[in-house]
Amino acid sequence: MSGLPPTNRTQQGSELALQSDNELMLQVCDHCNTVLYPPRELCSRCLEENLSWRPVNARGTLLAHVELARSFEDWFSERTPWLLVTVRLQEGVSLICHAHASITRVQTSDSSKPVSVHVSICKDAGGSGVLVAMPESAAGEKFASLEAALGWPVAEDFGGRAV
Amino acid sequence: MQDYRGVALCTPVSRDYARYSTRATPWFVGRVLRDLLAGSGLKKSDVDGLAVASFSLAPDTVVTLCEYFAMEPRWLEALPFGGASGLLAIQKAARAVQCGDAEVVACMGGDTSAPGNFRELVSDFSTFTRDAGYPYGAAGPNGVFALITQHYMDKHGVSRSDFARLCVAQRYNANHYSGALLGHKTLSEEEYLSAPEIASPLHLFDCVMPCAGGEGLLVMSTERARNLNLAYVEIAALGQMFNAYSSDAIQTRTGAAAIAPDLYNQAGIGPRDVDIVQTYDDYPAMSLMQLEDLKICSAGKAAQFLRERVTTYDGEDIPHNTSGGQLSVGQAGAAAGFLGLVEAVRQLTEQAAGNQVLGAKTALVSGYGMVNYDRGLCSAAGIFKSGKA
Ligand SMILES: [Zn+2]
Repeated sequence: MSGLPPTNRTQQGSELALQSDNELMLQVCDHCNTVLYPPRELCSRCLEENLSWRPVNARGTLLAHVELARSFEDWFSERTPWLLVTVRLQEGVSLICHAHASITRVQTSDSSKPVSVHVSICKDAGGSGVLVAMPESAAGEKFASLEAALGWPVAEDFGGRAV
Repeated sequence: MQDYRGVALCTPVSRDYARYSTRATPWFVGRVLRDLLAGSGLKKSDVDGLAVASFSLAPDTVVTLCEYFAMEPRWLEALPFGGASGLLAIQKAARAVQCGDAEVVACMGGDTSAPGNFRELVSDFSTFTRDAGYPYGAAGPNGVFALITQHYMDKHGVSRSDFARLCVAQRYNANHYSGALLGHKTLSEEEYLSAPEIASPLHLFDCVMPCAGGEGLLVMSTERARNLNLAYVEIAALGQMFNAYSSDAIQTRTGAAAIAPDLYNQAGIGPRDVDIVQTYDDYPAMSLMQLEDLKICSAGKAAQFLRERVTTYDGEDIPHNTSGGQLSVGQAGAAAGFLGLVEAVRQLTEQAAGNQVLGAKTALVSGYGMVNYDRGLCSAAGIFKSGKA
C-alpha cells in the first residue's frame, strides 16, 4: 500500500478534522444562520465573516451514487471500486461524501420514495476530516476511522484494505 | 440589449492536436496566431486585440504573449472560463469591435499536455475542489460528472445505449474530420458498451481524452472581412449565465436553459430553424442536457430525441458536434471551449473538408464548464449565420 489520501486543504477545510465524535458539524453563519459547505472564510449569503462549526441535521436524501474504478491517487486506486454519493441536507446544501457499501445499491430513481442516509465526519488515513454517508441505522455510532465507518476489517496486516 | 450587427467571425483555425506534447503553451497559441494571419492576409500589426483562454499558460499570461509574439495590441482579454471560453471571447471581442476599442481581435485557446498535467490541474482546480472535491476519490471531473450523470439517468430513464448513440454518431463525424485525435478509429455501439469502467456509470468512451492543441478565429467588422475577401459568419445572438440555478440540489439543467428564450428572441428564429448544433460534450449527459436546455428537444427527452433522429454530419435531421466533439477530437484544455464555435464557423463558411454539412446556414453553439465543487458554473450559447461574402 502506498501513500495517503489527499491531505491538501485550505485553513477552513482542515478544520473539518477538528470536529470530533463523528457528529456532522458544518460552518454556520453567526449573523444569518446559513449552513455553508464547502468550507469558506465568509458567509455566501450575507458576506459576514464570523462562522462557527455547529452540529447540523445529519439526515439527508441520497441524490446519486457512483463507483469509481479509477483515481489519480494510488490510495484510492488500490481500494476500488470506491463509492461516492451526493447527499442533500434539509438545510439546502449538497454534500459529496464517501459512502458505506450498503447504501449505494438502492435505486434513487423512485423519487416518490427518497432514500434517507446519515452523514458523519470521520478521520481518513491522512488525518483529514471527511464526510461519510451511512445507513440511517448508523446514526449515533462512533467510528475511529474512515475505514471503520465504511465497515472494513481493520487489522494490522490485512492485505487489502486496512491502514 | 444591443445586437451584434456588423461583427464578423472569420478564419477558423484548429491545429496541433496531440495526446502529449513537450511544447509549452505559448507555442500552441502562437501557431494558431500564425494561421490566423496567413488565412486572413493580415499583418501582426493589424491585429490590435488578443483574447486568450488557457489552463496551462502560467507562469505566462496574455500580456507576456504580446512580448513573445512581438505585438503591440491595445485590447487584451484573458478567459479563465473553460468550456465557455470561446463564446465569451467572441462576445467581448464583438463589443470591442462595435465600440471601436479594437479593430481586429484574435480569439484563441491553446493548451499543452504532458503526463501528470491533468492530475495537477484537477487536484487543485479551486479551493472548493481542494477541500470538498479532490479528497473524495481523487477522480477529477469524472467523479462529479459520474454523480450528475447517474442522477440524470435515474431521473429521465436514460440508459448507456442512449449515450452510445451520441458517442457513435460523433465518432462517425470524427472519422471524416482530419483534426480528430480519435478520428482514425471507428466506434460501434457494442464497443462503447463493453468499454472499461471509469466511474460507473461512466465508461471509457464517456470521458474525453485530455490533449494538447490550439483553436482560434478572428473577430472584425463585416466591412473589414468583405474588404479582405474573407468568408465570414455573423452573430445572430449570444447569451451567458454564471452559477445559474444554484439552488438546484444537483445539476439537472445548465445555464443554457436560462439563456435560451432570449437567445431565440434575439436571433428571431426558433430551435427548428437551426441547421447544425454544437454542444459542449465533456460528458454525454451534459450534451443531452444542453440539447434540452436549448429547446432542440423537450426537457428530459434528449435520449428519445437521439433515438429518433440522425445527428451525423451527413444525416437529414440535425447534425450535432460535426467534427466529433471533444469525445472524439480530444479535450485540449481551454481550447476545447473554442472547439464547437470554430467548427461552426468552418461549417457556415464552407471551409470544412470531409465533414462539410451541405447548405448549413445557421448554427447553434453551446459552451459549458468550470466545475468548482459539484456542478459546472459557466454557460454560454450563441446562434450564428453565414455572412454574405
Ligand atoms: Zn450569513
